[in-house]
Amino acid sequence: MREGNYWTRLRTQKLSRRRLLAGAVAAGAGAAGLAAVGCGGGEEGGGGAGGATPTAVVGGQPTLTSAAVRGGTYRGFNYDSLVLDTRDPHQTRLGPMYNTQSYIFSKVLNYFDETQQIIWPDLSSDADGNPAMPEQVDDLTYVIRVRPTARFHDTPQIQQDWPETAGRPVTAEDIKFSIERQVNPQSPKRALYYRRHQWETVDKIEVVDDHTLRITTKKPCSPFIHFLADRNSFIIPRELVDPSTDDMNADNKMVGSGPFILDELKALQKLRVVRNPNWFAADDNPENMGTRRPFLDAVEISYPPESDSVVETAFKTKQVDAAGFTDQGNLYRVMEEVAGVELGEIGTSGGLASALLIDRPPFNDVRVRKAVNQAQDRHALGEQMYPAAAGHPRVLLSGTICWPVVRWAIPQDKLATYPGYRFGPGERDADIADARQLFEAAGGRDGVGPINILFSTIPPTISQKVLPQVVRQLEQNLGAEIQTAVDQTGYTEIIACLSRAIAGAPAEGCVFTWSFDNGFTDLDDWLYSYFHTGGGLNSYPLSDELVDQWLDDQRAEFDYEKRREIGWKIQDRLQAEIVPGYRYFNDIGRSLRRPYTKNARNWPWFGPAYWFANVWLDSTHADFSGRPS
Amino acid sequence: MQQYILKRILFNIPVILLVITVVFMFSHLRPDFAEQRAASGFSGGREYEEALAAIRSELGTDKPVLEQYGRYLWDTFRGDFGNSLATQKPVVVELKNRLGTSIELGILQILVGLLISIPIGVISAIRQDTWLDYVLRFVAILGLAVPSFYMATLMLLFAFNWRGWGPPTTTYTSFFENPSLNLQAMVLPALAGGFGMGAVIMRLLRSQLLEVLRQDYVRTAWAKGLRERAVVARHAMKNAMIPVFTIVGLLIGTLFGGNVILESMFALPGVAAFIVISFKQNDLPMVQGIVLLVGIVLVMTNIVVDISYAWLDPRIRYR
Amino acid sequence: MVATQAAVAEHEWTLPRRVAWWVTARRLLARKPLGAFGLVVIALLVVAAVGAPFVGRYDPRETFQRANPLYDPNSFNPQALTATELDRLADPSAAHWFGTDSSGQDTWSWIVWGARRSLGIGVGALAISVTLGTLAGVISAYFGGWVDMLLQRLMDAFQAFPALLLLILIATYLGTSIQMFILSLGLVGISQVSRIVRGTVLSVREMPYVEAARVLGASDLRTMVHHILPNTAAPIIVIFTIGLGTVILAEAGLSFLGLAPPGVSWGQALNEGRNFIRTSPWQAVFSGLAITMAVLAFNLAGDALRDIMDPRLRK
Repeated sequence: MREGNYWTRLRTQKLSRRRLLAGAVAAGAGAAGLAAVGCGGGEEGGGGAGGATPTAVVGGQPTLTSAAVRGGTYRGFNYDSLVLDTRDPHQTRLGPMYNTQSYIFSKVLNYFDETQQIIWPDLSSDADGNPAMPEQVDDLTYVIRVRPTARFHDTPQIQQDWPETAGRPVTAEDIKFSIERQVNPQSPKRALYYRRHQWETVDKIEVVDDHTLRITTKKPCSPFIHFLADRNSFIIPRELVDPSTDDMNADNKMVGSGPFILDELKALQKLRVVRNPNWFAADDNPENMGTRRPFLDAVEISYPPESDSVVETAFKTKQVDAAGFTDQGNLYRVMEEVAGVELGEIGTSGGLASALLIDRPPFNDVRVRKAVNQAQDRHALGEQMYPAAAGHPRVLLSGTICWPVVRWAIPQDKLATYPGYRFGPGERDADIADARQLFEAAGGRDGVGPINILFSTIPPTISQKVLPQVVRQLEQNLGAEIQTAVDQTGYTEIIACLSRAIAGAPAEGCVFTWSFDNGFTDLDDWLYSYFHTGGGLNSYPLSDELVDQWLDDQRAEFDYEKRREIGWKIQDRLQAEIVPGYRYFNDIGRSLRRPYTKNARNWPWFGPAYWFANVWLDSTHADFSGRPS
Repeated sequence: MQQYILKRILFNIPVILLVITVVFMFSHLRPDFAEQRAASGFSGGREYEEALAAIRSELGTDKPVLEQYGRYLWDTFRGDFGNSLATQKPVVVELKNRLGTSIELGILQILVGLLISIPIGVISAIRQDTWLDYVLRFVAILGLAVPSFYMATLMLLFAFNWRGWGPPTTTYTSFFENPSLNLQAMVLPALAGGFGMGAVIMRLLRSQLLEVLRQDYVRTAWAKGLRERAVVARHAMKNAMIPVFTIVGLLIGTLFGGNVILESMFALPGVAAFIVISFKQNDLPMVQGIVLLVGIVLVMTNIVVDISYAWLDPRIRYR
Repeated sequence: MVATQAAVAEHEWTLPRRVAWWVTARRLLARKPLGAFGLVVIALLVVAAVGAPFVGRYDPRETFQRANPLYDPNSFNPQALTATELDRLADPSAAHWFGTDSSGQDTWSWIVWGARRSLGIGVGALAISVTLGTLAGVISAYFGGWVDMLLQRLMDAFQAFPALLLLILIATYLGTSIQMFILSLGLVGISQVSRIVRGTVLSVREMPYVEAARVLGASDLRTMVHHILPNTAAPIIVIFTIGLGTVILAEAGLSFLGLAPPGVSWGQALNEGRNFIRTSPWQAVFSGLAITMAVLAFNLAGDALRDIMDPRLRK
């Protein structure tokens, strides 16, 4: 039997104190998609106004404190109440939605730190019922044991609505069901399981007994443990799924086994969850934080106000315990005005991306793709979307994998050598001249014809600020004719259009899209489904032998460094040679926290609201006085 | 009087019918657009084509137009204004919870408006064409011209800079639960909206008062040697106020659903803000249902206002 | 909407006598200084709107740069690599009369081009309102009977909705393109125009000289065009003027909410500017001021025109 797997070995490794972007609550309004978990940033995070180090920005992991006081309601601003698509936890694409669901539903495993990919067990246990990672029997086989104390939520309302579910144990059957429904070819919703590429690696799942199951993958799959911890890998009570429609799209069906129970969800207004008194992991006491988790009685997240002034007022009057700002200039000013407030920051892994349809003009010509890629000024666009506060840079450029994913992304010094990413003296002009040449060689303005770009409106800065600049840049630098359209629903038109492209159906109007993309955690998620032939998100559609080969290789490679090398190879080929689509930049999400909020962390993206189980409010802290109850 | 009431009601039945028709008409000018939008936006977790088909059958838009119209009329008379795409609950149910907030804000705004406009209007009228009159009239016009959202923005700025105070933003409490918190949330939008309303009322009051003051019976009162205050209070105001009450009646109607911007800005869970939320969620039956409901309620309000106007001013009944 | 309604309603039109326009202008300047002030401001707005490419100084989407305090050519941080950075939220200066906004764009240019948008949309919408409203009013008054009943009830139905709600309904179903936006603003205003026009036509119709014309054999159409319509000019001008103020306010409000077609708009500037109002209020203050001044000017001018053109109030 293997000695754990490289995940567990990684976890026990001493983490070098590399100054990488770590937990900062980014509960910002507007621009970046930010996760809500508040966190007491370390001193480094808050303090100096120094410039950033080249490849990473100063920010500390919070020192996790042991909860001295229990109770209270955490209040913050975030997009958790944005409900545009479905409540079904395996079908939703919306970050805020699966963030909301992560309070409520458990998974087999959960992330402790996404950028370092440190994983903790959630439902997973050993034979004695203690939290433990799954047992990896061999390259293909995993044994997962479910905690015998895990129960679905039990309240009078749930007992009334779903008497079979209320309070019943979570079983191996539930896990099996949660996985298998996502790869069921008969399901009317099969197109919506956009994480199915993860579960298609599974060959069979055998339920050994009520609390044990055995999963065999088709081929060695190194990211498999990650899949179990990924943001959408919720375990649901199978009887709540409507068998004819294959969904559980209703508020009252959000019944899980997680640390919090759904209390109310008012669209675009407020989410409120309350403490689950019977949470199976309550006494795990990880990092000696304390027993009887969650420490909070309730968490209330309000939809962010429209203007920073209102956010500022709410933060200063302690109506909220953490806050992010649209403009970080305001953030730094408030930080100076309010004594003792803590700053948290983290690179956000959700970011802007363009997808091109490369099977038809004008983008079936790689010269046009490269030209458009190079002609856009990522620096200027970054300034528009994420204006920096003086002395506090906010944006770093991202290649195929965005920069906060430090384990897998091409390092910044290498990235700065690619066309479109070069800003050294004279380099930008050279890139533009080169782009112009490529464009002319491909036919120029008349030969190529009008280029249609479809822009998203979430966040609204895309259509308001970025769109005019993109048009100007392409018109000036290439002499191209640009026509723009706007997806008034935000991104759903874009997704619908790209889905049709994936399905091989005629897809007009999304030849060139400009929208916000969900960020991911593992190399496989960033690359496989997008770029592998037949991948579930491969809308370009790209089919390249080398890329396919390498993608399969990285899946079978269990050694981290070797796997990373393969990842770099793939990214290099995509960025330098194929250019089927590209990313731009990712910002550093920052937020402020009142010092009585303890143990909160910042996360690179939506999804880890379960972390609130570790947060506590120190009512003995001096700053706590005057906080509205 | 009864005949008058009957006439007003009969008179307005075609108006109500036309209100329903207008809403129906707008929702069918470009039928596919809204449904496509709803399908790609709020698909309820279905694939696009499937969502489109479901929305069509749910709204009944796959049937001929006349049949849809008939069904729409029938449903409306039964009180069925459609169901929300987002929550599947009927429009009326969703609105019930929000009504209180909108009405409360409306009443507060009118109170503010009246408190401002009556003294200013009276002074302006009895001191007609003096510099005081000009100043007050200018202020009134300013009150009309300054956008309520501009005023609200500036108020928020000053409130915090001078008093370090801001309205509660995270939870809304109703008046009956916690009057203090509730009024704190309402004070700024009430003031911002009330000024504009006050301006309108003031101008109307002033011009009505001027007309009345020119009348014979007033001049008689002057001749009799009554003091100014008595003349104004006893004779002139009563008659001048009548048209003002009409306006206020109409204003009440407008406020139920008319405070879109202020409710959104201050995150008040009222009817008008809900329309914006529904619009952003592509919940078209909701938008349609709310607009229709508000329209009908306003027509009924007009009937009530007309009747009370006639009760106050007997001359009206016989016109 | 209520403002216009109230402003016009509070005034009952007596039968107008046609008066030469220069006489009106003279009276206006002499007796209604506020109205004159309004007209001056309107003239300035028109100059700004029509002459935007010149008056505006810059393209409103052009971004400006200033020296970059982070400049460090050896850094990987793209925000440190260029010697200049975006000139955001700059205070008013010679180069930027109203400062710059959060995107480094010149606020003065935004105000000027915003005037073009506001006036353009306003005139377009009002043209629709006035044309269709006059048509409806004239038809209603002239034919009377059930035509009148039906049309007037239809106008009542339109007026039953708060304008913003109707606009949102239209935006939901017809989209938020600029054309639809103007159309919807226009439609919402028809009912008031038709009411006034109808009233005027009804009173003119009874006049002896109109009777005389008909006795002499003038056709209905001729009577309409030559005798009745010109007398509706005065109230229509007033409606147009005051109505412009209302439409500009509505457009600003919808832009503020983000429900209007995107573009260089005062409402949008106010919406963005309020995020920075504590430290750099120029964008918010000036755009709000622009809206206020425009609405003020149109209301003052409209009021004054109405007072001047109605012989009854002449003292």
